[in-house]
Amino acid sequence: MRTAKGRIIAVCIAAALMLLAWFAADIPFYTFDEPLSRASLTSVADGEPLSFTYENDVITLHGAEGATVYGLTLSGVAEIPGGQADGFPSDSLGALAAVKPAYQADTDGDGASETVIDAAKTDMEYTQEYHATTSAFLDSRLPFEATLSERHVFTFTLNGAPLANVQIQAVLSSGETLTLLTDKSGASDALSINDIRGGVQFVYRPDNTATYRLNYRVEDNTVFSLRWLSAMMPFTLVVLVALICIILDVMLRKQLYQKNDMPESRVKITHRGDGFRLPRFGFELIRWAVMIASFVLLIWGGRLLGSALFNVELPVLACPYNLDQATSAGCYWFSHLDVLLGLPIAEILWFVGSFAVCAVLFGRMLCGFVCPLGFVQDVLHQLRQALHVEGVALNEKLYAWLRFIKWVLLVLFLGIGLVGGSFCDFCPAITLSPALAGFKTSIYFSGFVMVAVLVSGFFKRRCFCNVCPMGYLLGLPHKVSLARLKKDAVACTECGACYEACPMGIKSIFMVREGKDERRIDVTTADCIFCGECIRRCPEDGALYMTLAGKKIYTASRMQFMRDYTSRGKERSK
Amino acid sequence: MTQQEKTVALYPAKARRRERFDRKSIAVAEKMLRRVEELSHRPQALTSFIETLSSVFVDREDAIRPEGMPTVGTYCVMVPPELIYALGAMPVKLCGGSYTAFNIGDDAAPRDACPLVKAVMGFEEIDAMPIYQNCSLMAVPVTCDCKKKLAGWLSERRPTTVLHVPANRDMDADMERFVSELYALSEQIGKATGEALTYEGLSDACRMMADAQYELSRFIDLRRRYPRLIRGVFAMAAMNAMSYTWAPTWTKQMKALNDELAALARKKQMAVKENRPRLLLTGSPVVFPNFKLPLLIEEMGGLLAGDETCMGERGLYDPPAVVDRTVDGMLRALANRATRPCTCPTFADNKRRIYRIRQLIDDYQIQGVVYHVLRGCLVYDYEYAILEEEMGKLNIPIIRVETDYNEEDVEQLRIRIEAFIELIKYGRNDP
Repeated sequence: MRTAKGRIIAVCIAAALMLLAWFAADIPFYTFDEPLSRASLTSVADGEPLSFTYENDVITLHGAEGATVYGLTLSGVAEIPGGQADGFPSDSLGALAAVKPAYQADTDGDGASETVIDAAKTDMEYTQEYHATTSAFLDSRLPFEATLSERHVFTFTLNGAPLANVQIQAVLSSGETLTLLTDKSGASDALSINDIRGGVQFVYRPDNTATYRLNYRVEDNTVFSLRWLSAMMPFTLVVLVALICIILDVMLRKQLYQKNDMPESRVKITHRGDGFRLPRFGFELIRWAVMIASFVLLIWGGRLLGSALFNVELPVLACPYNLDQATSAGCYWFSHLDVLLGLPIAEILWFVGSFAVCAVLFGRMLCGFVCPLGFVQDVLHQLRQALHVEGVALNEKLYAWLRFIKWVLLVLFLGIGLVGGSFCDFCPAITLSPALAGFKTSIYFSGFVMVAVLVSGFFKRRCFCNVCPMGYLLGLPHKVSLARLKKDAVACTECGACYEACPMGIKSIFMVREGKDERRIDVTTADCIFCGECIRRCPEDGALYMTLAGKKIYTASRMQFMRDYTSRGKERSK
Repeated sequence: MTQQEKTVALYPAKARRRERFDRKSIAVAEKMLRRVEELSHRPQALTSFIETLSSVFVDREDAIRPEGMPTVGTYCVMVPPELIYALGAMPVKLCGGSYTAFNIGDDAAPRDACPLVKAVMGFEEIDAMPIYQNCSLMAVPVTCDCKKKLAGWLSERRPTTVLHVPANRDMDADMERFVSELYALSEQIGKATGEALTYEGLSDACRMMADAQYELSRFIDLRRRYPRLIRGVFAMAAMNAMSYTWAPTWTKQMKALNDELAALARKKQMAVKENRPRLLLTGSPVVFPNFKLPLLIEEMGGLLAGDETCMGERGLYDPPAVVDRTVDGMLRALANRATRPCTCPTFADNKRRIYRIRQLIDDYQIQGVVYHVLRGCLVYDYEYAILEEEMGKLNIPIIRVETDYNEEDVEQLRIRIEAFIELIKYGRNDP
């Protein structure tokens, strides 16, 4: 970028990216219909307890005898006449409630009858689209109300006022009964997300003369159902478009090589010859196992583990639009600093704490081991290896361009929220994780970015990681992080295999040869994702090694190196 | 009438010269092999390597290879053997070490040209060696002035391809240029053998060489753990034999040697006594039959514990790290391997050689360094001063030995080597 021409191109790229990010929300890749206009509501008087059920877009209210149905709209609470609707107006917020008139009954078994108010509430948003605002009626027509204010926090109100420091019983669909104790804002986080999937009944008894019952239900998705398939639609499209781009690229290259008299075998796709090899037990296998495990957890973890880790704001590109992941996503707050500042102090502390702990303990090791977007790129790389399709080998110049794009993205990532945009409309991660978890998330410019990520990740291993702003922030404290990469410059033959293998194009690992102690030069850089490829491809005993908290966890070995390349027979006999 | 009889009839002088060459060069090769064989503690498995050298230099056979496989002559380690194997040919390293051939080449080359190149020219002139005669192609990397002129001289006689070696290898642009050189080379070899570069061929060839390097790595590993396990001359003979042997055959021979050495190591049977000074030989290439220096080291009571010469361990030491399993990825790996780790002084910046030698000193517990300079080999001579300074810091004695391709300096060499070994054995070296 030293030349004037380079500078002009750089400025143009920066401006284009900024513009695209700014208008990202106006460039839809795939949008779902407004979920509320598709859905219909039927009330049936079948004598069952008052509750909502879902069957795809058909909502049924059971036990509707004498019940009044309300819907939440932008302009307030509106009654739905007769409890029947073929669709909902565009200003509705997707929350429905039904209230039966108060009656006298003995529900607590103390022999005296009390006033019972039965109500039901449902949120359609849960698997539809993410809304930052909660759907609370706060209306006296629905006196006792539970609001899912966060994915594991309920806020209880009575006639619009928070129910502070009271006991509320929750009857789960399994029949189990829990007693919740609310805090001073009326919130309780005692229920995990898995507890409420089948519906939950809240019972509040302020005294012996009144009982409030509320059947709450979220619209839950079912993984591998038709509904899930439709949620996967945008991601499937992204993959298809990426596939077409890759095929076109390969064909184009073939033409180019034929024209320039290059050996045609360079572009020939073949599965023969030495191809995919299962990794042997060791660092590489562990990394793959951790990547697969974290991929599962960061997509379906909420279902598997419940809400145990929800407070952890993991700073990787795992999308917060997926409410089923095991942890929370720290990336959201980095890109929405304005929202972050408005959060309660406890949550800000959780965010800052999670980031500090993750960054210092692991640093960009999270990129190499945990990030689902990184995993997808690694899978693509393996696919290319299996097909032996020629990739794009980058050199210092191209890496410099990537570094420049990273800076632009970093500015966007941190800054766009402050000027009223949202990085999420631009971020590729939103297409992946919510879709796989079954959340119907409309995607805007992100879809095109994801296509670029997949195509570039196919031809250049972990290309996006080179420009990822979240990764850059994670790498900032690399000077104090516990994971370290070290080099023995004397043992090193400077063969450059590490540089060739490095998906992040870290050249210093190959070039550095002077240091205080030549046998223990610290070559950890802010870019290093600790994928261990350099060590795997290092043919010199002990020339490169990784330490975690001072302990060697992975060391280069010539014999191990050679075993990756010898005939399989020999591998077995040794 | 055979070709030879025709020659005798037509050019009696040339025929006499040829006869003289045969007699003398065979005698030198036989003598060197005898001296190697006379050394004690020769492993049984070394016989196959000695037989290879004997068949090439005494019996005048062609390289050990499957019937009908064409050969490509290579002149420096920068020509990747994988590429040649991938195109259905076999590489033979043709750097010459013959004193007799040197004498013939001496007439054609300027006085100060290096004897190695003169020997090559001599072999080419006399046209008596099948390993030279039968080559389908000569691949000459331009690593020094003599090699450059040799390339020109050869190209008038044989199909020759010149491989441009960059002077630097740290920038990716240098590397990329060398990759395109390799593509050009592959085209040349393909023309000679009629085969095309394919992924399968290249990956099979890489695996074949990896098998050989795996055995070499085992060998190195054994020597690192037991520096006195085998005499360095034997190691150099095995490495020289590799130049004329089809890789899988050599791998098998090397495996036998490794198995034998591993068994010896288990029984703690070392080749020499503990008090033998362990020396490292580095500098200009040591090509059979010019084995006088390594032989002198062993005969004068030293142990050649390691070598850093391109016809020795260096020739096969660096493995290509194939990161990207594609044709281009493999060629990049080969180009990387051929230039970046190479300690050849042809490269402008060569500090890695110092590090390499320091590592070898650690690995093989070296006590002294013998720096071999062939007369006229300027690039190696240049680096002596740097190495001497570095060795001074480590307090490792080093001796510069300049030799030529003749036996006239043997007695003088013997005295110097003996004194150097005595110095390490009995006296502290205080520079």
